[in-house]
Amino acid sequence: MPSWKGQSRGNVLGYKIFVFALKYLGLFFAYFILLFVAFYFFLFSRKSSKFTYRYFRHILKYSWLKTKWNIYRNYYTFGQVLLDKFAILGGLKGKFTYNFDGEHHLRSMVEDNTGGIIVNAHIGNFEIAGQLLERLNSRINVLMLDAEHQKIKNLVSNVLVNKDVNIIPIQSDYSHIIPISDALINKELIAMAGDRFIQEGKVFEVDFMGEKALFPSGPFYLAARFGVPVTFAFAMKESKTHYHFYATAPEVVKRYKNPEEQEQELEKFVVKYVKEFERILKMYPLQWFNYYQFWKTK
Amino acid sequence: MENKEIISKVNDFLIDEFELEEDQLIPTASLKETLEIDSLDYVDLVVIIERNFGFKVKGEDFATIKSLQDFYDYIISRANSN
Repeated sequence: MPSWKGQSRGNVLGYKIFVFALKYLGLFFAYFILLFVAFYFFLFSRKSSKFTYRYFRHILKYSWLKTKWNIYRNYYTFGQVLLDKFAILGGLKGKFTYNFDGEHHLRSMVEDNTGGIIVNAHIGNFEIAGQLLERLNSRINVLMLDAEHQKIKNLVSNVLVNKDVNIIPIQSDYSHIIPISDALINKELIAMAGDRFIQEGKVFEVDFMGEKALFPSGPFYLAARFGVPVTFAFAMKESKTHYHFYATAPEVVKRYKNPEEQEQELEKFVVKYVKEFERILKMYPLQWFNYYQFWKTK
Repeated sequence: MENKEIISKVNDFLIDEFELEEDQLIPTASLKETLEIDSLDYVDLVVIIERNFGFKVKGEDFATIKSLQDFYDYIISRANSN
């Protein structure tokens, strides 16, 4: 079963180079260095390139040459997104501009004190959404699946300056359930990815970009269990320093006593999420950052 | 609450809420691997414990609970300390 195995792209040295370049050389010089770093990954990171090759060549049906060119551009864009994340988390928000579609939906979740789950994906720059949303004056919790990369997390926490963003790392002993429960009982917002799952998680098989892929039911189950609404949100990079934020109207996932009815309700929401995910990805095909076997093999 | 009563209450909600059979509830059974209680079931577990025994589970407590016996022991010690 294709599932995310827990590795994040890049290593600690790579992140340190990024942080150093950002701190001492500035964002645009860091982008310049990135041209070469991306080329290195293009040449030597065959495993992840294999997966992006499948995405561009078989899912998007690009020509061979266009596929190769876009694999390189994809690494470059991913690097830019990482640099932007560090820059924004490190307090350089002023360098960036944003526009928001659907911010009022999130604002209503905060003002009506419903709390809720913001379901995003590994496209664009979903980690910065919490930072962008600080103007909502609400604490945002971000559930991170790649918590076992503790060294990287430590590095990230060093540049985190916004105390309104609380990172909840997923733990193998499931202890993350407690802060999630607490946040949802307190009607806070939690951002979590709806496109990755761990091996033992419950999933639905759904058509995505023309082929079958597995998506977790977890975010929607939590929404049903705690009676909070869900919204689908994505932060996409549109130019060197501009991001476009999208959020859908919040919807309530019904809770049923009957397990079959509950499954149907969860599947309905997974399909809704996948449709929105697909719509956004088609607008920004280069910002696909799932470097593993995402689609089911035939 | 007597230990036996606690164990019986735990078994009851495991059977009712998680569709487990009575003969699966062996003290050495692993919650994750044998009883197949996944992360979303843990959400329910936390809520049910609070409702039935009146205490709140702490995140760090999860690290010590691997088997059903660990789970009984944990509930007994927390229920008796309240």
